[in-house]
Amino acid sequence: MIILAVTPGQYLEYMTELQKILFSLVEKNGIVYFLLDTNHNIEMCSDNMFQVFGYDPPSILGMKLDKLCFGKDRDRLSKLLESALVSKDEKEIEFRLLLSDRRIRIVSATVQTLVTDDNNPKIAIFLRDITDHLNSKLFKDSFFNLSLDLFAILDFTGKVIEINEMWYEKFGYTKEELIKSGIAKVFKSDERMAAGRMYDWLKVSNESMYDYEMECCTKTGETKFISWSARSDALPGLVFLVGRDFTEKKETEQKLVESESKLSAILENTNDVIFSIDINYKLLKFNTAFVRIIEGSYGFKPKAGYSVIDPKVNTLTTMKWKRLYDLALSDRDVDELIDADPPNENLKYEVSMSPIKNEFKDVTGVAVFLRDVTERFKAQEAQLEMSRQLAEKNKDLLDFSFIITHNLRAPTSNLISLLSLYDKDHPANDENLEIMENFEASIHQLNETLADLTMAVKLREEVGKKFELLNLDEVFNNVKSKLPALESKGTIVFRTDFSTVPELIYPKGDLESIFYTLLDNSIKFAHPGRECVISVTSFIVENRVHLTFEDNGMGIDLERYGDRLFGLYQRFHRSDSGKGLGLYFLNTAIKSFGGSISVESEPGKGSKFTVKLIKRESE
Amino acid sequence: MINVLVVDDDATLIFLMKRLLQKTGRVSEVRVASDGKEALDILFGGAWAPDLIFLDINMPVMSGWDFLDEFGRSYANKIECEIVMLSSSTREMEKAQAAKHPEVIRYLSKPALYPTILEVVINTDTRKSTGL
Repeated sequence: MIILAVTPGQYLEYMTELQKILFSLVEKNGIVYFLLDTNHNIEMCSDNMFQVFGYDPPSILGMKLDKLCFGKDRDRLSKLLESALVSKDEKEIEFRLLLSDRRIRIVSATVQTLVTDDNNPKIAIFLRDITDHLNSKLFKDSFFNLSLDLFAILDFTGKVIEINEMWYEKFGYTKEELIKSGIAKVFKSDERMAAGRMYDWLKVSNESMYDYEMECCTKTGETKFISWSARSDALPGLVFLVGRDFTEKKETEQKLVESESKLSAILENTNDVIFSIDINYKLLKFNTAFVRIIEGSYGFKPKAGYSVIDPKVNTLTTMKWKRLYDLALSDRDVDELIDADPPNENLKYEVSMSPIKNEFKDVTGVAVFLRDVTERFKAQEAQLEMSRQLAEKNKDLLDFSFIITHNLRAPTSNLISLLSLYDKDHPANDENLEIMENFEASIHQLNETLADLTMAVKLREEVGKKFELLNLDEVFNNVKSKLPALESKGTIVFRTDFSTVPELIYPKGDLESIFYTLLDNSIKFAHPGRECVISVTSFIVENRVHLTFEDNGMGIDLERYGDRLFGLYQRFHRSDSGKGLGLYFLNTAIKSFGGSISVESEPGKGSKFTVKLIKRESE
Repeated sequence: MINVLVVDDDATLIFLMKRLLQKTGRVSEVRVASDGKEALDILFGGAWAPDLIFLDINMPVMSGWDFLDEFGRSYANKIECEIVMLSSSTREMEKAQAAKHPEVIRYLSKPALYPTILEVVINTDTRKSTGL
């Protein structure tokens, strides 16, 4: 400022003018000023008192300033004014000012005592309303400290201006640490470059950035996922930053993704077929096992939207599936064992269907679960077959034991009766001789029965029998030469056809006894009125070797004897010279290797025996 | 005096039964059949009728059971005759099956011994002569 040389009078004038300008400037800036006497009475008040605090200046002249002060701050203000009078230093105080309408404003006061020549000091007070300023700071601090988000205000160099407590909570760094070294340390090292670029962009851009996700790192090395939002303000050169921790959400998401991928891994890697359809039988979702099975059965790759039921096709297969789908669509759970579709109908599937429902409990589709249970089913069948065989064997044994007692009993009881008739006193009489003859016959019978039974028991033993490859022609010829009845019966015509199955793996003795017993029977029961014709053939049905022995003999009344034909000591013809053991032994021996024997016959026309043996592969 | 038919395929048993029956002194005639069919043939002939039949179960051609079925169907209402089962079987099942036939008055297990045979013969003879 250039001060011109002037007279003291002029100087005073200048000063007064300058003062006026200064006061007017002060007033324009919302600062209200007072002059108080030593008793704190208001002697003078600036004109803007009315605009700023609502008091008309003349109405408060002569009033103690203390009266305008909120009661609780009054003492503090009085003391400060007193001390201002004493020390003459400039003093600052904040107090609450009561307005005429009883509202309260917070004011900041600068107090200075003015000493005049007449030793009549005045207290000058400049009041500034800081309510709004304080409120905005309060807002900021409150929000800063209330929020669970991270707040930061940085300058354009990245220096931390303001930061809230959450930074410590989330990352473990104190406010001081972050102010000292910057906030970049909370970013993962490989994210810092990107963060820097983002910061530079923010400074030049007027736009705000929202939800910029970054991987961050706590002081202890833990990962936090933070979503940042920021904007800059070029005028003060500040960047405002808000960070939201979504680590938990991210982890849950990751877990969900993981569990989803696990679930889909299970769905994809299982051999079970899983798919779903809507109410129009259209495919919704399916796994690879489903694709495989459709490709295998129908030769095309299924796609979502394909119909699993072709309404035009009315095959048994379609009907079978439709019935199951319809059951499930009518809100029922389905659990059934089904045959797979052709050409895999030998496979067994366990099918489970559950209705899929929407929030209103309407059925909107069906979830289908198919499991190949062929092996399990076979095992069950095998188990059933085994228990059936066991039950049969048990029954056989029971019958056998009854037959033993019966057949041993017959000759034994005869012997007892004969003994009771024997006349010991006259050993030589005719009657005794006759008794002795019968005695002999019974002993003989007993012995034979025992031999038969020993044989029957032996036949049940499977051990020690050797399986060998046998030529059926050789077996036949060998047996034919041994048949005792051959010569006495006249011409017998044999027809054999072993062309389909010329060879068979079986114990030699057993196969020979099959041929022997059945050929011998046919000859024994040949029809007396015609030439005896016997046909023997071999063929394979369902992995079993069938041997058939067909004759034109007397035949058997199966209606009458069918169930007893293969029993012990069963004789059906009066001309039967045997003891009724042949077929029993044969049946027992065949069964012991898992085979079976059956008969078709008509009295007077002939019989046909079919022996079914398990086909064994050579080793 | 009664007529007796023995149905059994065992020659020794037939020999025995003839002896035992004769020994009772109350049997006028014993005829034998080696199976059910022969027995039916005798009855069918009509020339001779037994008062008592001893019937075996296990025989070729026609068993004791088949005979009983046929007898029940065709003869039970035509001739006054009692049947005694005589079998070497001791199965309860067979005793029970025999009991289903009203003509069967007794089930005897072999051996056939004189006191039992005598008792059976006397009973039948008594019933026949008193008409009870």
